[in-house]
Amino acid sequence: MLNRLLTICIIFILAFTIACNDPKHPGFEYMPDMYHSKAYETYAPNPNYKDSVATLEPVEGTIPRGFKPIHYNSSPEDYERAGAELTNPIEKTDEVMADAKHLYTIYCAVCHGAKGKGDGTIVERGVFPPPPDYAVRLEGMPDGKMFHAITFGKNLMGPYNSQLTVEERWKVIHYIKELAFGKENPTTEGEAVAEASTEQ
Amino acid sequence: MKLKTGSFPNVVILMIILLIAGFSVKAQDGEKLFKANCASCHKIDKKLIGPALQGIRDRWESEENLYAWIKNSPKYLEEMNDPYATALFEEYNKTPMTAFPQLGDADIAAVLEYVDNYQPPTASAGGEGETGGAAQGGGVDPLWFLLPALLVLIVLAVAFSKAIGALINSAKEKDPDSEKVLPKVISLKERFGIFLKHRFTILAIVIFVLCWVFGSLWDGATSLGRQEGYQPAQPIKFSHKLHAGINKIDCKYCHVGAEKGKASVIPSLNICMNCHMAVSEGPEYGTTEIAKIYDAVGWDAEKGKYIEDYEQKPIEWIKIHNLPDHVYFNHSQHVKVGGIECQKCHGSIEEMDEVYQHAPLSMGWCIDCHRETKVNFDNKYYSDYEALHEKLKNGEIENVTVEGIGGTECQKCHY
Repeated sequence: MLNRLLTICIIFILAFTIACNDPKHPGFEYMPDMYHSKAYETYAPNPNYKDSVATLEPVEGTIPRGFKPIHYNSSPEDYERAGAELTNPIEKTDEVMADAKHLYTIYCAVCHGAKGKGDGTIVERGVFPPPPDYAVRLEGMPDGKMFHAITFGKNLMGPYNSQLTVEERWKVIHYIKELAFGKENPTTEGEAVAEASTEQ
Repeated sequence: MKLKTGSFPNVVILMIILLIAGFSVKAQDGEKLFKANCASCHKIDKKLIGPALQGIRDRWESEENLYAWIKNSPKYLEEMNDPYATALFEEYNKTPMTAFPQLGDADIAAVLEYVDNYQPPTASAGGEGETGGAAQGGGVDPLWFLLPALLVLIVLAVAFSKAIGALINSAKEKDPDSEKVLPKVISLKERFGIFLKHRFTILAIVIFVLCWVFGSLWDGATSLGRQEGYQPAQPIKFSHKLHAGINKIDCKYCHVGAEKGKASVIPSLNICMNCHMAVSEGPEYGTTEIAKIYDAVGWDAEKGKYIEDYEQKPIEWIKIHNLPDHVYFNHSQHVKVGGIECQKCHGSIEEMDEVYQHAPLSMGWCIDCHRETKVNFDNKYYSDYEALHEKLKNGEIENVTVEGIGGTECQKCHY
C-alpha cells in the first residue's frame, strides 16, 4: 500500500517537472483572475472587431491630439509640390542634432551608412541594393522633397511616417544635410526657399 | 629561328593578357558605376523599382536614344515622343527615372557592358546557409553526465567482484587448506541485500527522496505563473539572430515604441516591407517565410506592386513576455530615460533564432535591479528631485539608485 502510494507520488512529480520544462508550454498559473486584463490590451485579440484585431487604425479623417496633418499624398506631383512649398520648421541646435544623430543611426544608417555614403550594414552584406551617396544625390534638392521622400518613400525606400514623427523627420533632415555637405551646409534654408519660389 | 618561334606565342599571350586586363578594368568600372547609380532601382535579372536591365540594348530603337534617356529621362519624354519610352513611364507608375547628367557616354557604355556580361551569383548564395542552422545550446542538465559515469562505475564494480570471486573459488579448489585464510565468497545478490538493509543506506535514501520531493514541489510552486524559458513556435520563422545580430538592424528600427511609449510595439507590416520589398528570399527558408508577409499585406512579388483593395490579414504572433495585469511596466521609462539596453531584460536576442523568455519577470527580479541600478541623475527628467540633487552636491550621498527615488514603493508599479 505504502509502496504504491510512493510510486504514484514519484510519477506525479516527474510528470509535473517535465511539463514545467517544456519550452513550448507557457507553464501553469495560480489564481489567474488578477493576471489577465478585463480590458483588451494592445495586442490581445478582441472578438468584437473584424479579424479580432484590437489595435484599430484611426477612423479616416480623424487626427490625434497635437498632430498637425500634412496636406500631401504620395504622388510624384506632390513630391514636386512639397519641394516647392515646405521648409524646415525646426531650428538647428546642438540638442536637435544630437537627437537627429540618434534617430539617423536607428532608422537610416542600416542602408545609408553612418556617413551617408550608401554603405550601411545590410548594403555591405549584399542583402539590400545600395542607395545613392547623399553628397551626390542631394545636391540642390530642396528640404521639402526630402521630407516627402521620408514620409511617403521614394523608389526602393519605404515610407517612414509610422516610425518617425513629423518633427523627427525634420530633425533627421538637418543631420542628413550635414552628412552630405558638411557642417557649413551650402544649401541653407534661404537658398531652398529661393529655389522653391523660382519653381513656383 | 628558335627565338622567333618562341616569341610569337609570347606576344599573343601578352596581347590576350592586356586585352583581358583592359576589359576587366572596364567591366569593373561598369560594376562600380552600376552599384553607385543604378542599383538602388534596377536589378539586372529581376524587376525592382525599374525594369530588369538584361537585354536593354535590344529593347531600345537606337543606342543614342537609350543614352539620352539615361542622361535625362523627363526631358527625353517631353522632347522625343518615343512610344516605347512613354509606355515604360506609364508602366512604372509614372515615376520618372532620376536624371544622370553626371554620367558621360563612356560611363554609360561601361555600365551597359557590365549589364551584358553579368552572371548571376550561384555558389555564393549557399554560403549564407550556415547562419542560424546550429541548434540552440541550452543548458544541459549535469545529471546526463553523472548518470553514465555512475553506470560505468557500477559495471566496473560488478566485473571486479565477479573476477575476485572466481579467483578465490579457483584458489579454494586447488588448495582446500586455504579455506581458513581466504574470505567467504558472497554472491552479488546477497551483497545487495546486506547493502539495502543497512540503516545508513535506508536513511540516505529517505533523505534523498524527501529532498527531491520538496525541491520539485518548491520549483514547481515558484514557477507557477512564470514563463522563464518559454519559447513558442511563431507563425513566421523570423530570426532575430539574422536581423539584429548579423545584419545589425537596430532593435528600435522595428520596435518603434520602445523609446516612445508603454509597449515596445510589434512592428507593423509596412516596416517589414521597408526591406522586404526588395528582399524576397532569406538564407535559411528561401521564399516561404517571406511569402507569408506578402500574403498578409497583399504584395504581388511578381509585379512588384501592392494588390489593390486587398483584404489584409493580421499575423498572429504569440506573446512571450507577459506581465500580469496588476503590474504596470513602461518601455520608454526604461529604454529612453534609463538608457537600459534591451539585452538586459531580454537576453542576447541578437543570438536567438527563435526568441525565448530570458528573464523570470518575477517581482524579486524587478526589485533586485531597482536596488542596484544607479540612476543617471543628470537627466532632465529627474530635475524635480531637488533634495536629492542637494545631497549629491554636498557629497552626503554618492549616487542615487532607483530605490532611492521610490523604485521599490508598491504603488510605483501596482496601481
